[in-house]
Amino acid sequence: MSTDPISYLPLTEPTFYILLSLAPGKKHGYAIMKDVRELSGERVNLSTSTLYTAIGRLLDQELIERLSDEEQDAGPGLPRKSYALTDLGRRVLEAEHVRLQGMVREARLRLREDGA
Amino acid sequence: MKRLYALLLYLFPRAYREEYGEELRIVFDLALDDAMASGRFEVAHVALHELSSLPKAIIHEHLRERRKAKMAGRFGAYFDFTHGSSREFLAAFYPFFLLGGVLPIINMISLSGVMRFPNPLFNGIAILLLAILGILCLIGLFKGLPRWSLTYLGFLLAIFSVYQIGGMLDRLWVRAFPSLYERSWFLGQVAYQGILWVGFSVVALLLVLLIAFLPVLRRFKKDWTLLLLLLYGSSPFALLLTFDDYMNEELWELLAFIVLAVGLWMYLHTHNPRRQFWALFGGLTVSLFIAAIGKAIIYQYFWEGTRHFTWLTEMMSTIIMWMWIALGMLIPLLLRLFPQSKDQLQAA
Repeated sequence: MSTDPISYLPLTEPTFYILLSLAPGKKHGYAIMKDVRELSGERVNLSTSTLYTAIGRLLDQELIERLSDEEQDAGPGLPRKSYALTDLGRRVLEAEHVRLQGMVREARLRLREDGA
Repeated sequence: MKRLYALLLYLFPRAYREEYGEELRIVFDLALDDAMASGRFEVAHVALHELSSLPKAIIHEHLRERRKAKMAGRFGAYFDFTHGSSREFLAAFYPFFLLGGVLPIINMISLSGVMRFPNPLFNGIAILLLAILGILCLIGLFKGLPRWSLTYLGFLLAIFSVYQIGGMLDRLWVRAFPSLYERSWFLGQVAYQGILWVGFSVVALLLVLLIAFLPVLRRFKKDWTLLLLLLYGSSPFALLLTFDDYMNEELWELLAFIVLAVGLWMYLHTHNPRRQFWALFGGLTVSLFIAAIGKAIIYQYFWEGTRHFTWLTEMMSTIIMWMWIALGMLIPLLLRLFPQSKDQLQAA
């Protein structure tokens, strides 16, 4: 796996929101699913299977990690496994943030020029 | 609906199902429960959304599974055992089986007089079994030390500790300890067993210390029980050593090895680190205490008449051996003192 965050960019919208959802701290699958829906303003509505396909890929890429059972504090009926960003995952998220900021800045400049 | 979804999960590849199946089911159940609070329409919407995305995910995972197998190569992929599967157990158990199953059986056949030794057939079988041990050990190293291969390293560690480190310290023993032995048999035996097993604890301690510096050992920090499993791999050799020079020990040996196997099986079938610890620590303890009792019982057949050894000293020597190995097996607990990652601390 590459350790260069740039090589993972651009992120797809679901991937971006999953990583963003984990930025404040660890979460279990259902919490990620709900958070992604909320963060995206209900636009990205992941199904359970799509979420876990993405989780599997992010684990393979070492952008997120699965926490051992002992470190988890899931309540009754909640999944016992939770996920957290790795250092690489956080750097990828930050790199995507910078990329998106650059795009927004350029778009803003051009749109102002057009408007002027 | 929940039952239907649980059944549909069987369409995923087996390895994927074992890894994520339970989570998928729980998350689906939670999503459905939440939808129920919003009415029937929402339940239908969620169910439709979930079911419609399943075929794509199932095909995707099957393709990914094939790609993984292709990348690892067919031979290599054969040794990618699912955690907790019987194949993983059999692979991890092989060194135990060799010492605890094959050797006592050969001994029994030898004692029964059915066959004469050395026997070309048995020599061939022995070479084949040892070759399989060596090949599996190399495959484990080649594949980056998967969980099943750690018992092989533990087995090598025991040999290294007893013969290499113990052999080196033997001079010290000759000079310093006979007087200690004369004064107190117990202290002399503690020192003697310590010399044999000090390498075991030193290597465990070194691994714990190096984990902070070597990224290759990072997985031990993530899961401290892996180091425990590695050390548990030494236990078959310890049993063999404790019954050294004994006769009619085969049944006790087999019983002790069965307990070790049960400990290993329990470790591989649970994900809870505490239970994993007790599976291995308990397995080692019960097994060596069975050996100690066995030695006390069969002692009379072999050692009767010798001055320095009694059934009690024989039993105690195994208990002291257990003490040293158990001490080494507590070292992985130090890994729990390592600081957690930034994200985990934030979450806390």
